[in-house]
Amino acid sequence: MEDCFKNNPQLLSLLKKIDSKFDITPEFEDRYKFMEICGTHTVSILKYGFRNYFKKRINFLSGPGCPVCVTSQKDIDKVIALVQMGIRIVTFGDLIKVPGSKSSLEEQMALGRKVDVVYNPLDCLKIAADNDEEIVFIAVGFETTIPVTASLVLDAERMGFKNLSILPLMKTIPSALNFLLSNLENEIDGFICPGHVSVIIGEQPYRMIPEKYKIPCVIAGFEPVDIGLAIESLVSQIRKHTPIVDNRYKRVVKENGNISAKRLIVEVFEETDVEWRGFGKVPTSGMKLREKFSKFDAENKFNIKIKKFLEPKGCICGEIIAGKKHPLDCTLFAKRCTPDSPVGPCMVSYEGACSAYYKYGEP
Amino acid sequence: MEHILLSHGSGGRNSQKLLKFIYDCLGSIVINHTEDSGIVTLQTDKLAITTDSYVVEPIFFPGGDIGKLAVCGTLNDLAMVGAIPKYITLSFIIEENFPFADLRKILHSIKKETENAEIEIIAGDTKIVSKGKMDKMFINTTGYGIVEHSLEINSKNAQPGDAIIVSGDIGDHGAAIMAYRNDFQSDLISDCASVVLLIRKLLDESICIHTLRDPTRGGLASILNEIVIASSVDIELNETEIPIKDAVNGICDVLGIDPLYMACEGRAVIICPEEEVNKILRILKKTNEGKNVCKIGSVIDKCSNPRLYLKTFIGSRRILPLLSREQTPRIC
Repeated sequence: MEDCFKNNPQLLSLLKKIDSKFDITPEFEDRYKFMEICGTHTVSILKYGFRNYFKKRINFLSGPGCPVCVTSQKDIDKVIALVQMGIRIVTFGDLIKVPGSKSSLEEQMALGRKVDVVYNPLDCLKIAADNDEEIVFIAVGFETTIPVTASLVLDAERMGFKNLSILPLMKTIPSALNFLLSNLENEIDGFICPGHVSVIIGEQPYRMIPEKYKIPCVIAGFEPVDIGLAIESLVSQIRKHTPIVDNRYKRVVKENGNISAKRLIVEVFEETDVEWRGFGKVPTSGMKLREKFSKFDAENKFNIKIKKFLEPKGCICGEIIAGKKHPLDCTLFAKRCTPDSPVGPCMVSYEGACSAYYKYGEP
Repeated sequence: MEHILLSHGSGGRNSQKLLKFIYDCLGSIVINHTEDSGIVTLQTDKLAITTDSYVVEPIFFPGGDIGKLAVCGTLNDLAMVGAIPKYITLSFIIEENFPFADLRKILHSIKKETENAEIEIIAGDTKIVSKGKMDKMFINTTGYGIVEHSLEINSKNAQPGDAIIVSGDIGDHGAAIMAYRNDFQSDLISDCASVVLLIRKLLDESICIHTLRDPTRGGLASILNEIVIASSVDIELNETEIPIKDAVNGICDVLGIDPLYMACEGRAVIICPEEEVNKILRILKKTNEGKNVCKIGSVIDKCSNPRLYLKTFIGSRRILPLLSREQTPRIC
């Protein structure tokens, strides 16, 4: 199963089919601008060599789909403030290395502060049961992880945990896309919509893109065949002038998404305006705990106040996330900013565009 | 006596009991155990020596344990210069309260691997550390082997036109450990094993080998990057030829980790003249450890700014860089 989407002889005939659509015609002057919203797509496009393959025909732009990258500097500083208060924090691994205004979690860990790295937020339940101290889960992430965080809150409530709370830094993709489209400076010719997020939200939230903005969309998986199918779909839609939301990841993405996961989200959280790196405040694009779960909100529980915060000097992560600039446009890229010594979050996270361009650089 | 106490490291009666326990488990493979130094006679003018420390979480993993890992890792380091392993030293650092039952299991693994490789333990040590000051057990080893061949096998010797061969599927150890740590349901087991016999068979058949490396920490891409720099050559791997199990790809995809950088503990990367490829494949395919042997790429040219390239599934080319920092699981 795995192999049939990765190492597949049909992949080459698929590429030929796309190549034939690109046969130079008078109307084809500029490269198409495709935005891959999800950071994991950025990785796949570079890792499997699609950027290099299509470099004369397609300009791939990374979108706001890396949860760590879109977390604002102020929010990163809140996390550092929590751990400096002596609170044990639980987090996804990517957040460890992100530089805050003055320090990073990695530096705090070296000082002996308590930080647990988990892959599954529900691991917090065991950590909270095994320790008497206060535990805070740093809830970054999109719709992919929000349902699990909702489960964590419900379990914590049911099991009566008093020492467990979350720092709600979650964000939702459709609101961000709406914001991006209404503030777009560059014209985008097509969107590759995120695979994992779409498993939860389904096809419907993207429909406004072809309907209102006439821009083709494709929901795609992450294997080479998936990326090939996505490119083929977008190029066909452009050529035929029939923009739709084409679901090419039907093996996991259903039209209506995952209804029970969506119910979980609504049960625990409600929409709120939140700050995105690169966008500023985006209406209804975040999640806050509903009133009846507000005791699990670490921000209130520990009264975290960040007065001053510093954006990394010279860093253009914000513009990269907004699709305005490219990692290679950054003067710090691969010089002062490397994965060993990152200046901005896009160089830290696995899904970060700068990290992907650094790691999967081309000859 | 169910758990190790600090007094087992005090030099007194309990220390004697611990040593007796170790000797009883290991049996006759320990030589000269009553003296402060082991004395051996070696008939050789070329001696290979390697040392390593083994730290693994969990210490018991699917397909092995820290004892097997320590012996096989040492044997493999010797095999990578074409040496025939003869002796090993073992130094245990153990956390207070470590169960004797677990120590017994680890010693049995060590005994099995040293017996299979026909080597002896010439020296050893134990230290006990207070609870919480370390994690369960660390093992340090030194291996000694004799070199009988006259080949120049080293990382500086990869030549343009050479083939890159890997003795089996890559990333099994790293992925098995990751799956275990993350509670994933998986049948995947570590490839932890000695490759001494595989290399021995090649040398016995007078195969010309230029470079040998075992892709442990940092995996295939990391050791090939080291070779690229040491030999000042470009290397190109062919993604479609690299043998990776579906389960390893699956775990790596879920976690956002690249299997080309995942540790193997029982594989050899062989760089040799192209004309030796068929012979190597024929010899290794007959063995259990080498049955999935593959040619995965070639050394291209001498280069002053050498790079490791990957020809991807779609026929495009990209660089496989040296890894920066630890790989961490992704979020989205």
